[in-house]
Amino acid sequence: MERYPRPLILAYRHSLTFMRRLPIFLGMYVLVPLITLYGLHRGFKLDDTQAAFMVPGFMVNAAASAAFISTIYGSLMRLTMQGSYQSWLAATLSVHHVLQADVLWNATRSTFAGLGIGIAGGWLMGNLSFMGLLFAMPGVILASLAASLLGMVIVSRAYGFDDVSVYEPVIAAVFVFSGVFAPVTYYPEAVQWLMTLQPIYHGIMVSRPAYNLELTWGVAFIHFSVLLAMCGVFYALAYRLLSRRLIT
Amino acid sequence: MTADKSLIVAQGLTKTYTAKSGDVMAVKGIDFKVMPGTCTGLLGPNGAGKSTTMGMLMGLTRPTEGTLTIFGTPTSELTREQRVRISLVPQEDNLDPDLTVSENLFVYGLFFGIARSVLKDRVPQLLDYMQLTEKSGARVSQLSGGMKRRLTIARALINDPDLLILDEPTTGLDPQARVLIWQRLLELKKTGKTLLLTTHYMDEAQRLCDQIIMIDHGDILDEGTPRQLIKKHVPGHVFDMTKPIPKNLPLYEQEDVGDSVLFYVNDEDAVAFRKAIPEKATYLHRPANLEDVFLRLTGRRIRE
Repeated sequence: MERYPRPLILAYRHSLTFMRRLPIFLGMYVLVPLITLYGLHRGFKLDDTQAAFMVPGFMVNAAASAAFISTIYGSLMRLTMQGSYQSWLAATLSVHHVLQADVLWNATRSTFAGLGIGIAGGWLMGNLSFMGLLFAMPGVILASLAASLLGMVIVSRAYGFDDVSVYEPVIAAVFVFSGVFAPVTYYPEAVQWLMTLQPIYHGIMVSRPAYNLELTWGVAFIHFSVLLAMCGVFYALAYRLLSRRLIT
Repeated sequence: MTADKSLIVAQGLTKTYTAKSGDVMAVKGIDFKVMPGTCTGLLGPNGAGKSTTMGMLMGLTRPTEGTLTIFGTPTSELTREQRVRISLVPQEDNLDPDLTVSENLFVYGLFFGIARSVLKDRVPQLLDYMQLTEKSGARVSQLSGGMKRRLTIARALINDPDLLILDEPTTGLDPQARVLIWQRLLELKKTGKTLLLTTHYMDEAQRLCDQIIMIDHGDILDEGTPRQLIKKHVPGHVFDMTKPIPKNLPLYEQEDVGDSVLFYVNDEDAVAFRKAIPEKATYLHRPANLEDVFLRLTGRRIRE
């Protein structure tokens, strides 16, 4: 009976729609960060050290932000306007299937956006390192997963775009204060503390040294543990809220 | 004693929603059965408890009390193999707007574990059955309301279900689309499929259903075949007499409905009553129907 895992079938469904929207996705999540990165590089005449600082920061931020944004808008639309979740549940899928498929899909494609930025950004700034990219990816992937799961927590309590668009300033604040293009220590302590509560900060803290082949076991352990814990907590919370929403 | 062959059995089925303003009992301990190969209509005004009952059948709403079994298994314990034998046509279209017409069927079929090779044959067959072949490559947004409804029904048939649950399948459709859907539903019934539908169209229920369950305020008001219900609740003839009402008409049960008065006359007296109506009077004489029963049981007050 079970020919393919059902989250995989949902991912196949997502891939069909994704191919139709590829130019929009590339524009929003790859081109825009690249333009910003390139503008900073040219405008501030960044040297190699600064470029090596920024590229992994942009990779993590672009991937995790894309995962978060595509979850809060895409998944919200599927839940509220399209009624897709309800139709999938009627077709023998469970809330776990729906949650896993949506999150994995949003995180995976966003990870590719991060990778694209890593390749193009590294090439533009003249510090492209394939080993660095490879080592940076686990942090990018985990930050994207955690961001998408956090997005699902928000979606499961939202009823319209107004309920999620209030997070746009948060996305901007996270971009500025998470250490994407300046060390977090430049900012007030309260801001630093707040940033530790969201996944992009931890993704950057682990991916940046990994990209520069300077990652230590201690740093890796701390930030991967936090990211994994975030994934676990957000998954449990999203599952609970979504179940309550879908099965009354 | 013979075993109960009912496909659906509800016993003491209750659903209470907890709200800040207090508990709301949407379904109040109802009992009903649906036999295999029949079409059962769940009729009631808005807020009667139909959709909640449908939700409980689909496992999307958890009963507060009572039992609800399909294929002899409580709905919460249905195996995947059993769930594959059930399909839903929801009240609101939830087709996938990001996919084409044929992709909608194909992907949905994959959810049910149907092989791609099977779907490659079945999808065109269903599109043809629902007269949608020409639209197979179109996006859902390019379809008319009737086409979307037909596609939703086609999607519900992709797994060749034994039980088809239809929540207002023809609401908002033009007569041509309704007739086509009725034809298809009657054909499905002939093939042995079990249909459970809700509708606001009494002519639809009368035409399609073998058994009617009238429900209001979460309670079952009555059930039976359309003919039984009509015979039980309304005299055989209705004279819809436009005001002013002629004087000296024989005394029969009557109901003022605004611009006209309905006279309910039994079969034996219908001819005599008709003769008693002055030539100048404007009226419509028709047999009693399920709508008369519905309005009698649920009242004429508008429900929001």
